[in-house]
Amino acid sequence: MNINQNARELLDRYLFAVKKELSGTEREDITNEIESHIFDELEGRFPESEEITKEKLEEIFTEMGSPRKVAWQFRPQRALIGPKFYPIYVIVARILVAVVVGALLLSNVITTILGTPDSFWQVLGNFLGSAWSGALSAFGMITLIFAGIERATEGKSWEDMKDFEELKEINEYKSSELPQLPLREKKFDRVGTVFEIIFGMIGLAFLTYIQSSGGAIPFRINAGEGLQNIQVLTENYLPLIPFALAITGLELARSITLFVQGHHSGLTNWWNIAAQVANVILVGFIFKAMPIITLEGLNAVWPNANLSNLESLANTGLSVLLGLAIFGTIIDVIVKVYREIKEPGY
Amino acid sequence: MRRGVIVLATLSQLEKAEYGYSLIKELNEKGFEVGQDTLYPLLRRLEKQELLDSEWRVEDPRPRRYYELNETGRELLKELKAAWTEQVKIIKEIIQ
Repeated sequence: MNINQNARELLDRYLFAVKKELSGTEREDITNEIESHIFDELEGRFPESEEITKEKLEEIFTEMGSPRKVAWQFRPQRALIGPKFYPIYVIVARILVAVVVGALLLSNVITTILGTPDSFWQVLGNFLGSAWSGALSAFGMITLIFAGIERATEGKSWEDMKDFEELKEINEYKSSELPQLPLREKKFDRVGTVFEIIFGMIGLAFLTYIQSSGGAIPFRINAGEGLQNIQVLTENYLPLIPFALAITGLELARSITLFVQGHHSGLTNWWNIAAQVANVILVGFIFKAMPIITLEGLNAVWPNANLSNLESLANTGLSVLLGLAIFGTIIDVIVKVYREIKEPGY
Repeated sequence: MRRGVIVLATLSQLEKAEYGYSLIKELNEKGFEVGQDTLYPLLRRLEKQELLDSEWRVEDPRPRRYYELNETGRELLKELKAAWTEQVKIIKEIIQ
């Protein structure tokens, strides 16, 4: 088949848009089948020698409808928020979250100006804490409301709903709404994600243990004797453990979401950015709380060793590593935010 | 009514392996109008219900996904055909 370059690019953009709307392990397979169907349609309509132009391809797209419509037909019938309400849900959720975060920012600024002077980190911590819980509550509330509306109007399949006036907009094919092709697609790595989940769980278990033991880890001092708890973390670190737990939980939930949906999306990418920003802030606090490593407990194991030098070396080394981590993560976040704005969802 | 009949019509054409487009053409030529928006998701659903087997074949000018009835699908088709014949008989008697 003789398909010209403009038509090929349009076809790729259409298929890319369909794929973006799909989730799960079958998305690649479904997209390939749709592509195969489009070629069959072209072959059935136009002689083999005829050049396939953008206009000829658009004739088929107009009949098929928008990429969202094509993709939604393959989605499970019982989505939390179905195609009828999804576009308006996204708009309302974005506005509401922005308004809540904006209002909390304003209220924090006013409180800071009028109230007792707090340190910059306290103000920032207060704002981030209240913004996070406010945004989460607003998002959860609006999702619940729309899910309720969806359930109230359920029982309508796509076949029944396709003549609804409000659906016509998302059903129609419009070339102007097709996304540009990404420069490079971020591939989903199933094995890597499984490792992320496993390490996330180990991290949660470790932090929970450290919190309950007050910064000590079990160590066998004398052979033949039982395990004894040796203090390895100073009291400076202990107040930060709940934050470390929250961030690890946030990252773990993101990895599980990524694993379930089977591909990178705007949600998982922004989630990743948020977790990295939270990590930078936490590392900043850890940096401020240094020294956090203590080797005093090991005096019982190696009484003759000069552990104070080793302790100072460990804390200095950790400070350098934390500094590098902050620097590296900030660069990584800037790159990711730029990429996410330029190519949303990839 | 049509929704139930589509399953019977589709299964009845899959005694031999067919790909989506050829199946749409075949059903439409026989007077049973069905579009890609209905047929492809239906084929996937029937496959998930383990009534059909499918495979990508590359011997055509390009890869195509072929669907075919498996043993469970054949059994169900037999039952659906019998139920359909019975219903037609009853309705015929009622409306005459």
